[in-house]
Amino acid sequence: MRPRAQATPRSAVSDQASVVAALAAASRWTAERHVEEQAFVETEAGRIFTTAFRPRGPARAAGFLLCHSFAWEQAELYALELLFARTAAVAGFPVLSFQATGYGDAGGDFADVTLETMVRDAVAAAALLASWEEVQNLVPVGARLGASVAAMMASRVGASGIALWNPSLEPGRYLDGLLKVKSMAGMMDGAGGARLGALKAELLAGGTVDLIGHPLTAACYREAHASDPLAAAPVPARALLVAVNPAARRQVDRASERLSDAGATVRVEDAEGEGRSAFGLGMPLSGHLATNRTLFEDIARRTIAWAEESW
Amino acid sequence: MVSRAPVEVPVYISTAGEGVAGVVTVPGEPDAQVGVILMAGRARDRTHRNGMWVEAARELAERGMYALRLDYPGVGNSTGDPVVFDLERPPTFAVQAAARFLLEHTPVRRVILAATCFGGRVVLDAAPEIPEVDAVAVIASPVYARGATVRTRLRSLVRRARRRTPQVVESSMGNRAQQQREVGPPVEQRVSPAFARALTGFLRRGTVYFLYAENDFVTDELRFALEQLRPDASRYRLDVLPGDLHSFRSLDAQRTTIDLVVSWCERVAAERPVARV
Repeated sequence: MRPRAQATPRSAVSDQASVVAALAAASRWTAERHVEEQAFVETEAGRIFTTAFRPRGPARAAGFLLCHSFAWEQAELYALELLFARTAAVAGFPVLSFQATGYGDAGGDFADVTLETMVRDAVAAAALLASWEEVQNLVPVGARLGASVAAMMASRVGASGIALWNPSLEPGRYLDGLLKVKSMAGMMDGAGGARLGALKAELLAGGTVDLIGHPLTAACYREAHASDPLAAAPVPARALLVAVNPAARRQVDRASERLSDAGATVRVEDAEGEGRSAFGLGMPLSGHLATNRTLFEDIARRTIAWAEESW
Repeated sequence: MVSRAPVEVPVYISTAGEGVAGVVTVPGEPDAQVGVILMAGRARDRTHRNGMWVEAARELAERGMYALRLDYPGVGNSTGDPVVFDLERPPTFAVQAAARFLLEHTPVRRVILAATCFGGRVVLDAAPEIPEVDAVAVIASPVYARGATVRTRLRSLVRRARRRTPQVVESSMGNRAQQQREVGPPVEQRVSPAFARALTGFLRRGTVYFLYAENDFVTDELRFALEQLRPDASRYRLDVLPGDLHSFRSLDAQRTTIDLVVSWCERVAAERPVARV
């Protein structure tokens, strides 16, 4: 059986509301075992863009909330998010993906983005997910800086579990890594890269840095350096940490220790597949998602297996 | 009729058994009859870097045009398996389906296509097959056959390196004549056959806007292709900006592109009134 998204033919339209209503009929896609629906959602603070993935058959009791990473990594890792969302929905898990204000379709100005605005929007998205009748347990999921967002929002919404992929749980260090990428990229393309120290100084002096096409503000930079996502309490009862890039294994081990010390039951897994060593380098590679498919499928498989044992 | 703020509607467009995802921006004047389809490079989703196509869509709608920013099949919110697309056989079916969608479900009667990088090749290839398309913007797109594009990119990197450290690069890379010998196939074989076919075919009835930048490796490709193909100069316009556009890794490149594309669409829409259809 094939899907369908159907909009109303133009003969029925007469004003803006009619056109919008006619098009809105195509916002949903019904696949064989799940339904996807894209939507703009107004929140108290602005607007987010969501994509819902809901099983067509019986649903499991846990719903995943996908918390995206920062700047260009939101788009770079979107393929991983959607592959996971579709796989999880087929396995019976409801999933909600969202784009925070300042990102992607949500619109808004990236210059207004900070870690706190991302957490704020994640909490708003979690409220939407929690309103689905089949969702009994919230499980935030995040890759790279999205892991910090997931960890910080988890304590605010009383999440039952948390899944972190190649987590960057030291936001200040993460942003310094992106600045280093900018500095190196400038040298490589012949534009004459600014020195890392000069970029940091610019931010600490209250300026804004063009971070490879994204305006990084002093407010965002300072807030990140003052944040400790794993300090938020209470931590979820169950946690999955997936180490993707072998170089990030030490960060994963440190996060595991802290979550265990805070009382969580932690499982650590190492993902396998081509592209591991390039994952999370912070480079805007624009690599085609088809080339990372095996790795992404492995991350999704491990996360779903962990959830199936838990809920 | 009172003009309202534009409204965005996410959609799935059924084609080839899958749903190609997009967002339609509906202008405040819903009777608008010009629609613009926006695409990014093949590895990027419909919003483009830092959401530049989101901003462009809003500005187009504020100027009385529908805008549809479109994902590639298997990319972004589109359903289906990811595919590595071939420059010589771009997924034109998605653009054709998107144009049909706009024509069938909105008052749109004329369609303008605008896309960056690989997307420029997709929309140019699709344009001759869609009668309602009469203008295409090709932005910082490679136009050589793939092997030759890789070589021009390498040559561009060498040229940049020479500018910065001439003494080192000169000794390691040899003289210009030697570089010329190393760049590969005879020049007459470099231009992509698909590009040549699409450009010459579409210019018989439509116009093309090429937007490039001086430092982009693709700009030399386009200049060479235009020299070789010699299309009717009255049917296309070429703007070459200083600096870089390709990959849109600076806020300036993003803003300039949005401004130029939106104003070009506005001019095209005004030049040829909709009564044509």
